[in-house]
Amino acid sequence: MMKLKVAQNVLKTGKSVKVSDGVSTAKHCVSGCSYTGATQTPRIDDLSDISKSIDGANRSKESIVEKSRDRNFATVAVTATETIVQEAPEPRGIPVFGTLLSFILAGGPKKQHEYVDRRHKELGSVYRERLGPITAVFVNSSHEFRRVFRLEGSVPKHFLPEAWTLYNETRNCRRGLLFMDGEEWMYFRKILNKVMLVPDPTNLMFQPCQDAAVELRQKWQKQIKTDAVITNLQVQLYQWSIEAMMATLMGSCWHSYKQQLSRDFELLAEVLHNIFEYSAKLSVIPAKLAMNLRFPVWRKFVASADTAFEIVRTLVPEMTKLGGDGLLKKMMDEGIRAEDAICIVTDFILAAGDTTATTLQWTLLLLCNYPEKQEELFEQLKDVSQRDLLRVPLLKGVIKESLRLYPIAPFISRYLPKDSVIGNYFVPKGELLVLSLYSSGRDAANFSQPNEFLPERWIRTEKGTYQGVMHPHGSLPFALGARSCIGRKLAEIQISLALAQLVKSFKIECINKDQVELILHLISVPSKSIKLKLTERI
Amino acid sequence: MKRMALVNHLKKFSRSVLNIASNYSKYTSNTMLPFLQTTRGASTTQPLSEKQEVSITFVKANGERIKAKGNVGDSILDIVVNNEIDLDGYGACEGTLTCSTCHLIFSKEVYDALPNKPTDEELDMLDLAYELTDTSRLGCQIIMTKKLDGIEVRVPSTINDARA
Repeated sequence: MMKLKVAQNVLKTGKSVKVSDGVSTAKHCVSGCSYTGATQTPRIDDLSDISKSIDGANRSKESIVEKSRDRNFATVAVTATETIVQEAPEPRGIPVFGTLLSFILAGGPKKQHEYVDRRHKELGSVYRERLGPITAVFVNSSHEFRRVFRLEGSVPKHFLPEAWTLYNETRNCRRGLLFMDGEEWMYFRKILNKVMLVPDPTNLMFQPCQDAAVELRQKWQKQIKTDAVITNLQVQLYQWSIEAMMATLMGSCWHSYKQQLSRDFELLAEVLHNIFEYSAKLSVIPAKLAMNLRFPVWRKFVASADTAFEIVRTLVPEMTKLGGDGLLKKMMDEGIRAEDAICIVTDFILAAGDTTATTLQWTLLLLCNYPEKQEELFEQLKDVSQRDLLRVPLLKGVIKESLRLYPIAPFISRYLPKDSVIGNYFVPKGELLVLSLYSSGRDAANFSQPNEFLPERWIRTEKGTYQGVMHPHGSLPFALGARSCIGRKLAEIQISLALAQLVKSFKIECINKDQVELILHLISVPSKSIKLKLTERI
Repeated sequence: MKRMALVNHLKKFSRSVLNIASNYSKYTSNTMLPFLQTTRGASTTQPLSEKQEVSITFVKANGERIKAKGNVGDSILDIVVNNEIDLDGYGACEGTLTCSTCHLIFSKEVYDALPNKPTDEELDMLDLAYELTDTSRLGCQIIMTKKLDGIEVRVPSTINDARA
């Protein structure tokens, strides 16, 4: 599931429109647009500002009175010929820092999904806020999501964390699809569409994913003979996920080369996890600053990324040389040259490992929290043949419902190519838009009993409708359209088959489920390692 | 010297003629022949030709009608793309079933006569379409057959004509 995981946690160093007096009375004229709105405030480009800013913060404390604001402000007539749209509401902040302090007090980037959800409840479905080095317009209305994906243009652009782009720059590192834009992106995306999305790629993906699933099941069957509790779940699932990806890339020859190619998987799994943890920490500080001042977190981030690239960069050329008859061969047959394939496949492995593994963790946790659903799923799967597994409606429902509650990339970002109106508010061309999937997925306006795990809500009735889903576009974990997740099919097949293997073979319980909550490490991860207790079903 | 040059020239010329001829024979044997066979087949009991032309009329939300031609075997999305028909944002994901911008509304009779029922993936995307009806389908999933020749399809209004 090579989600646009970076899309989350949105930072943008561009224009920061911030209002320090608490009321943004900006006026926007969409036609012939002159941006007369808010005041321009300096960015935190320089650490020496911080002490100054803290003083500033104290001085203006009295003025930060949190009260609910009338959002019908700011329509000032300019001239009769221009259309006037409102400026999106912004939370009250303090000079220079804006709302950063309240953001950090609320848990910082780890809890950004909850912070943004609260802001939506306070300010509405569209609002603008500056968090750390970035300013973005946050959107949680399912209706506006759909519009954003229609307005994104033919070559959609998304946000990339500054830490990552800076790393690529300093290491002179060419990257895959996620980091490409414009025509280059379009060229490779079109080819990859052909091999990963249409025509149905199930044939290419089914067997390798099924083998990886069976292997995971067998490994656990062996492991629980000595200890019923699976403790290092995260690392094990990372390895499963990387392996399924590699097997899909190599095809039927994977078994022969497995020993040779999988030697560094454990280390890779570990550093991948670290990369996401450190880049989450880096999201609130300008990355350049962190680099220039040699912050420990920057150094650790770079060290992990270096290790990951070192491993993958020896691995992938070996794979291209071996060839095989899998996805990689198909990509190269379609005209992707070896040196481009190396960049693309590297990012596949980096992006697929954690997203798919973590989604499976959340799904397993939910099935432990709702044992009756787990039983139901077991009943529905136990007599189904291998080939029909992917069509079991409850299995699909379980995965959709997990991604609704725990969207792996809880924030999807886009820059719109034209000035637009989003939910009656003006959003200038090129401003960062962030879709709050976590918030919309748990909104009672979109899903009845939004905090309950009800996989059957996704099973269609005779009439073709859902029960308990008012707006299906409130949950778009793979995004939509031209730049939606390229690995969607692979992720769905991989997770479905593994989940089926595990649920059919084990009764799964979680012994620390009350301690686990969602935190963000760029993607949604469990705050604690999930401990599963397995009992083999006979 | 001059003569040599002339001879060389002639040699080059004949070589290029030969090249063209050999290319041509390649062309007829590999590409033309199956085509000829299939057209011949059409007059007997063999399956329909790949090259049989079909037409389709798009009716836009503002009433504008656009008639376009394609071939049997094309998807409706192919026809829109090949004819460069200007339907705002149509087919954004290029038929990868990751958007619903190629949504079309059929009449009940045509809808029932469509060769394939929608797959789960198509239904999932249709859920996200604007102005969804009981006879909605995604154009990228409809493959034209001779039977569908001459159909009319309604193009739903998009965000640009209807904001709500």
